[in-house]
Amino acid sequence: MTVNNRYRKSLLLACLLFVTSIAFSQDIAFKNANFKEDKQGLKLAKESMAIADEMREQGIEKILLMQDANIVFSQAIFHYNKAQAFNPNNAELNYKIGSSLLFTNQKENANSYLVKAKELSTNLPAEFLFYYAMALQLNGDYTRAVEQFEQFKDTAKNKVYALYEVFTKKYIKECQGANEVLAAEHRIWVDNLPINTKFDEWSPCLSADGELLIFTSNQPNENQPNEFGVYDQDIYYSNLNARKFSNVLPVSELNTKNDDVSGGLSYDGQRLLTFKQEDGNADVFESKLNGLKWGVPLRKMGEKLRGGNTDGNETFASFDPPDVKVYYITDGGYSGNKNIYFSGVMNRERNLWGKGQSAGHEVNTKFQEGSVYIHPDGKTMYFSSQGHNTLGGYDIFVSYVDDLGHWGEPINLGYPINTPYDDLFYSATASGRYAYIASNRAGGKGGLDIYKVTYWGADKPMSTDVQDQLIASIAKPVSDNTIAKPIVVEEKSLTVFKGKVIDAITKKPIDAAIEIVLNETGKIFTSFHSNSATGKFLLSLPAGANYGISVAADGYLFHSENFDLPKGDGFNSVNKDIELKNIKVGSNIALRNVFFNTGKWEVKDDSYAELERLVSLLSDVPTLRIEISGHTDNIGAESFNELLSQRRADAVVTYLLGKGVDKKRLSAKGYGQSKPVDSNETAEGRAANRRTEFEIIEN
Amino acid sequence: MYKLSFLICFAFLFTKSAKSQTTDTINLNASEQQFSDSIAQVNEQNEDLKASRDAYNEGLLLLGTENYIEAITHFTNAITIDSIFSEAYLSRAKCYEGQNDELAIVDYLKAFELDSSKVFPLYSVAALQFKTDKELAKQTYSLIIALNESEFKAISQLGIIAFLAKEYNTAEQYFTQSLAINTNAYTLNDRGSCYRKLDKLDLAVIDYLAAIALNSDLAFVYSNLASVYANQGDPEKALNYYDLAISIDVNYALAYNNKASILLENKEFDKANSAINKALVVNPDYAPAYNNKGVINHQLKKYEEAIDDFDKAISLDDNYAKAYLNRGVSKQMTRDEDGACSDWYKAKELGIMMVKKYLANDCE
Repeated sequence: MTVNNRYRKSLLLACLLFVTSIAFSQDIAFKNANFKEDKQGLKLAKESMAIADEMREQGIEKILLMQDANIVFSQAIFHYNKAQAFNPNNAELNYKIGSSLLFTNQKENANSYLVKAKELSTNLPAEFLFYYAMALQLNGDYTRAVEQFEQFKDTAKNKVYALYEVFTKKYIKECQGANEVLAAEHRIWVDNLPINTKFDEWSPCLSADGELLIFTSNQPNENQPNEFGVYDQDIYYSNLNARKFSNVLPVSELNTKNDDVSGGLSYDGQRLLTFKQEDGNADVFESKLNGLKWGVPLRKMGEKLRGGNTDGNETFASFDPPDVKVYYITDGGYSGNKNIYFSGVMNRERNLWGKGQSAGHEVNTKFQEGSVYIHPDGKTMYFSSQGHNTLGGYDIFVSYVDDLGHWGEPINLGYPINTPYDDLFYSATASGRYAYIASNRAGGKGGLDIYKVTYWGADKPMSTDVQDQLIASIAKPVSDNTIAKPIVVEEKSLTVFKGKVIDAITKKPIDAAIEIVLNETGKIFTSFHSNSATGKFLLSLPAGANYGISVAADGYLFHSENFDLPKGDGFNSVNKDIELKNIKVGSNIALRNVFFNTGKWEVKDDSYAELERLVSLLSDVPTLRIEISGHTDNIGAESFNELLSQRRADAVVTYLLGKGVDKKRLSAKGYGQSKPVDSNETAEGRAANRRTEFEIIEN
Repeated sequence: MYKLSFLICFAFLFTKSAKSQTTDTINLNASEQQFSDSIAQVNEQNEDLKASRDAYNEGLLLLGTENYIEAITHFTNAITIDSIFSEAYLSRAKCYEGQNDELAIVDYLKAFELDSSKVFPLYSVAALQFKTDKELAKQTYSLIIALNESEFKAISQLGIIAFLAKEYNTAEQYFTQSLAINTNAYTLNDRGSCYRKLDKLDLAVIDYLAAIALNSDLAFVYSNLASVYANQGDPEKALNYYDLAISIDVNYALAYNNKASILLENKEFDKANSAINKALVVNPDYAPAYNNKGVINHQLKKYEEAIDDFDKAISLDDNYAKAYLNRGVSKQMTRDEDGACSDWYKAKELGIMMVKKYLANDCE
């Protein structure tokens, strides 16, 4: 044998050994023999594994009982990771981590551990095939997933298979149906929001106009994390700015040291449903926005253990447009699984609600239902479920109610809203164009993330241009002016009416009572208050009715609007500020937009807009009598200030007389510096004191 | 009359010349003197006439070489000498056309005034008035018809004016009246276009076919007919006639563009692209072709290319409403929502109201 041949053979052998060593890495057991140098480390690793194993067993029990086990598996992984850091090359450990991850929000990481387990050893428990198949399903490898599920079915002992049978059959069906669900074309974009972090962001709740987003997150907050380094869930909000949610703030008044979770937001953004644990079970609570602050949450749907509240857990909830029912998720129903129920109000003042009713067998399954949302149109329910024809995990479905109030067969919203991962929650704008969901799909920022769903809507047709030389003697061609008509598809027939209730003169927001009446029947459709701090209101009105809207506030002239919304009117958005006229005797209103030059009493031109509003008020309420008063700061002689303020008040009266107001309704008084409203020590205070006011002295 | 005068003068001159050879020294009596004076006067007039004619002829030469300004000078000279020289007014008017239409009209009217047996100066006046004041043109054509009710061309022109004013029923009546006097392909085409506007497509087809039968070399008639077949939902026939139009005029950009539109509707994108590209080879600044090209690319989901095409269409015509509308749709598909909304606002400003829905749902 020549030297070269010998060399080549040695090289070949070395390569073979190298490849073999990679292909069959050693499965390193947690034994003294393997860790002679670090027996203490081994001991701690084994202790961690024991703790983790117990938690994992608990988790598996919960899963087999159709319960969520995210927390307990996450805690198991926390302990497993300690052992993994000590010895990453143990097949069983990798298998346990991988299989645990499948039931957390980090399930996209499961596959790598399971694959490693497989590489390290061929002697894994029969259940490995089941979990490996789940990982394949998550990766969209449905064919291989089915193969692995079938192999599990064929090779596992009967006792073992029996525990997993329901799930195995379900997941095989999901895999077999996946291609059909994926094949359906959906004109949708799904975008990860900039507000997401490596922590969980979930349970998005959107106001009907799409401008306020409230959600839940376990990102670091003011409290201490638990022993696993996990912070408690808190509620956050963000306002839409330049078509994006970017700025996030905590809803401090609702957040506690415990988990605080957003459930559902009223369409006008003024009431928030949350849930919290009390005495061993969770109930739905409602908080109302008072001005800019959320009020203390009060139990919804009746007292504890009454009405819709059971000894089970009532959690994620949704208002319905007439505000008569609340839909919610509960495991306190007959099945013991998490299902969708609803409860109807019987007496709002006394907080009496009816017993919870199942939303029906079409929507509820023997698997878990995770969330529910009723669209402002009142006819559409979006919910998440592990049952029905999901692609895997939770998927989001839509169901429509018939005239008898029965919810119809759910339709999977399909990809890209749904994936083999968990896709939950759904909160949409009234137009239906945008919605927000939560998902732990691969490629997110970590854990659960909130995604924005944009529906392309009906195809927007393109308009071609055809030209003809219609007249022989005119060379210039004539274009066809036809614009391609948009394709008409069934769309939400809703009008969103929103705006602010403000004082007609001062433009300040007013807390007004708003009542919507169906004019045909005279019945009240809904009633609520505008926000006291901002005056804002928002309501969604389904098409097919004529509505009367009345706005009333103490001391103000009553105001009404009419909306006629014929059926098939499509989606409309009306933005209108409602100005109420102050008519309360004794009301003192500062005319902050009436200007004079220093030391002078001629009314400046830029005062006219404000004065016209005053003229309008006096015209609308002919019984009003007012006193115009002039006020100054304390700079200069008191006698001069008195004279100046009187002259200024007179000037305003002269203007009003010039506009036809009867002089018997007007009086003018100069108070000089005798009635300050602020300190004269500061420039700002002095500016506030220099003012013209009117007081309603008779009505 | 001038010819007669000229002959008389010539006769006299000849006679005078003949006589002068034999009577050089003859003393003339009073009547003879008077006669001699009148001859001298005629001779003088003839010289002027000659000068006028010479100036006119020189003007014609200059007109022939498009030397309008100098030609005008010569015609003006001719007119100055002979203020009733109608041909000089006519020719000067031709020179004025395009430079100063008002002066051209004055000269044409003068020519007509001098010789009202010829109405063609009035046609020229009407053609010039047509450019700026259709009402005046209408009056002139009406005058032509009043002078001679068989003036079918004038009747046709009234039809065209009515067509352009979107008074299609009136236009149809005029064209029919004109065709009753003289059947010709152009007027048949025009009446066919009337029927098209009145949505009487079957009648439009009849007229276009009749026009073709009379003159098979008019590419635009084939194209018009094709468009009618397209409107009737017969794309095959439409394509056939667009091809015929192109076979007559291989540089007929309109036909290529219109053909592309049909192919696009049939989702034959490659063929549509090919037709559009031919239109653009013929006319690289043809905005509608860029618009349609953009539509093709959009259907092929090539949104960036589509936007480039719409950009080009808009650069050629910055009030091209359809291109803004379409570009907005393409921009939305590239997730440029701000750009899409901006384009739709522009389309709305330019009169496309249907974008209000897009703006309400997607932008506000």
